[in-house]
Amino acid sequence: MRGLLALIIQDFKRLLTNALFWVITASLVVIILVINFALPQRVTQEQYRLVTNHATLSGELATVADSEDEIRQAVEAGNTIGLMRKADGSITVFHPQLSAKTVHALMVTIANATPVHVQVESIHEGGRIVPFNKRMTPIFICFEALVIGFILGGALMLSEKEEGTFRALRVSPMGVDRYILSKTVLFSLIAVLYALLMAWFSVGFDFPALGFILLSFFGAAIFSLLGLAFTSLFKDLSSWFFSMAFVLSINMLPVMAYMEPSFSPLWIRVIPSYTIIFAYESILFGAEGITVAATLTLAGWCIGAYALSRAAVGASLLARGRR
Amino acid sequence: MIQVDHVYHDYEGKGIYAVSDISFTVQSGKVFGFLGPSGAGKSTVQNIMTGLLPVQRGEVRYDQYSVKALRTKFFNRIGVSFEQPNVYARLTGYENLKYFAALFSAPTCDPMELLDSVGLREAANKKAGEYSKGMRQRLTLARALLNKPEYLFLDEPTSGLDPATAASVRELIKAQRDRGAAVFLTTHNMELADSLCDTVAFLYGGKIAAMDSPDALKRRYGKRLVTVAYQEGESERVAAFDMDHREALVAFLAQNNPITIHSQEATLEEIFLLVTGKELTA
Ligand SMILES: Nc1ncnc2c1ncn2[C@@H]1O[C@H](COP(=O)(O)OP(=O)(O)O)[C@@H](O)[C@H]1O
Ligand SMILES: [Mg+2]
Repeated sequence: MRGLLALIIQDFKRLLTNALFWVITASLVVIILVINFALPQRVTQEQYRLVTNHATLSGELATVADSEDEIRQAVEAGNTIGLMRKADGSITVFHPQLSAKTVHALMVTIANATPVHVQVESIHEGGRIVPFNKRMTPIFICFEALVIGFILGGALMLSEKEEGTFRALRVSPMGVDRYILSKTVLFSLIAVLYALLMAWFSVGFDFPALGFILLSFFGAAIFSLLGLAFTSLFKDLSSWFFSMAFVLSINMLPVMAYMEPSFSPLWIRVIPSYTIIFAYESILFGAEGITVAATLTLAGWCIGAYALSRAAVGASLLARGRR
Repeated sequence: MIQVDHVYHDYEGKGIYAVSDISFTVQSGKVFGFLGPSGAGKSTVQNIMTGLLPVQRGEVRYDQYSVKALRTKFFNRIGVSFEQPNVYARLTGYENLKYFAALFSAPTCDPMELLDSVGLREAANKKAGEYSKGMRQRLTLARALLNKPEYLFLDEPTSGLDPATAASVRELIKAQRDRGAAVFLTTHNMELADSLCDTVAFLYGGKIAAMDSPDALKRRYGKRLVTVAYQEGESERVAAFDMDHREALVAFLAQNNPITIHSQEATLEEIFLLVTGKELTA
C-alpha cells in the first residue's frame, strides 16, 4: 500500500517522544533482569502430611488412618493429602485442590512405592522440565512485548484526537485500512523485536525462530487492533487510561490458567492471551511447536480483531459528517 | 465547482439552526469568501462542505457528486485548512508535511518548497509543538496545499498573522486561484475579503445577508463619491463629487489642478454594518 512505510516511520518518530513508550521499554530491561536473577528456579512447595490406610506407605512417611472418614477429615482439616487403599487394591487420592501436576507427581511416587498399578494421566506430555523462572517467559512476553500496541496504539490515536490532527486525517484520503494497518504493523514490528530480546535473554536461542516471530507479529497485531477499536470509544487520554488498564488486567487473567492448568474455564480460554501464552509455551519449551488448533484460533482472532477495529475506527475516522 | 444548496445545520437537534438556508456556488479559478463575525456560522458551513459535519438538510455537490457519497479517494482533490491549527506537535514542520504527503495518491508538492512559501523554511526541523500559533497556522495552510487541491478550503487563513505574513498568505491564495483551484475561504477580515474574493457572502446569524462581488456590493451600497484634492493658491483643498453627476467632476477637473483623486467608496465593513446592522469585528 502506497505510503504505508512513510506513515509507519512518522508514527515511530512520534512514539520516540512518547513517555509511555520509554516506560514500556525500560520495563523490558527490568523483566529480563528479573527472569534471570530475581525469580527462583524452583518454587518451594508447601509441606503436606500424608494420611493413609495403606500398609506399604505408612511408617515414617505417613500418619495411619483406619477408615475413609478419618482420611477425609484429616484432609479437610488442612495441609494433608490422603491416600486410601480400597478393597480391590486400587488407590484413591484425596487432596486439598492441588494442581494436576502435583497430583501427577504424587501418583508417580505412589506407583514407584507400591506394586499396585496406578493409572496416571499426563497433562503436558513431552514437555521438558522447565525452571520456574524460564516458565514465566511466555507471560512476560505476552503482557510486555505484545500488548505494546494495545497501550501505545491507543495513546497515539488519542493524541491525534486531542491535537485535532484526527480531523485533518478525516478530510484526507487516509482511509480506515491504512490508518489501522500503519499503526498495527509498527507495533507488531516493535513487539517482534522485544519478544525476541526477552526470549534470547531468558531462555536462549534454542527454539524455532520463524514460528516465534510469526506468533509475536500476529499476537501483537491482535492486541493493537483490539486496542484501536477500544480506544476509538474515547475522546481523551484521562478518561481512557483507567479503562485501558482495566481491560489489560482482564486480558491477564489467563495467567491463572497457565500457572494452574487444571483451572481453565471457557471464559478464560476465550481471552486471546490464553491461546497466545500457551502457544509461546509450546514454541519455547514444547517439542512439537505451535498446534494447528492454536494457529487457527489466532488466525480467527486476527480476522475478528481487524473487522472490529475497522468498524470501530471507521465509525469515528471516516463516517462522513461526524465530529 | 462546488454547489451548496439550501443547507441547514442544527447542532443539538433542538430546532435551533446554527446556519440556515445557505446556497452559493464556488467556481474553479475563483475565490469565494464568507465574511462574518465570530459565531456567524462560517466554520459550520465549511465543515458541512468538507464532510466533517453531516448534511442534515439541503445538498452539497462537487460537480455532480454529493458530499454524502464521496469516496476516500476523492479527498486527493481536496485541501482543508482549519481555524484551529491542528498539527502533529511531536513532529517537525517538515515531518508533518511528509506524513500527510504520504497519504495522497495524487502528485504532491515538495514539502520544503511549501514550507518556504509560508515562511517556515528556517523552522522546518523544529517540532511543531514549539511553533507559535501563527506558525502552526501557516503549517496548516501549507498542509492544505500539499496535494495541489482542486477544491481548497481555508478557515480564517490570516487570523492572528502579522500584516506582512498575511499579505504573503494572500499572494499564496491568489496563486492557488490562478492555478485553477476553487477556493472557499472564511474570514472576518474585510480587507482580505475585498482584495481576494471574486464573490463575497455576508454571513450573519447563520444566514447569508448579501452576496455579490466586492465591487458590486460597493456599487450597490456605497455612497459613490469622488474626492479631489487640489491646489488653490498656496493651500490644498478638497472637493467631493457625486458619481451620479459626473459632469460637474469633469468640468472641475478641466479648470483645476488636482493633486489626488479618490473614489470615496464605502468599505465592505461599512456595508456589512449597513446590511446586517452589526459590526464585523464585534
Ligand atoms: N460543536 C458545536 N455544538 C454546538 N454548537 C456549535 C458547535 N460548533 C459551533 N456551534 C455554534 O454554531 C454557531 C456557529 O459557529 P461557527 O460555525 O463556529 O461560527 P464562525 O466560524 O462563523 O465563528 C455558533 O453559535 C456556535 O456557538
Ligand atoms: Mg469559525
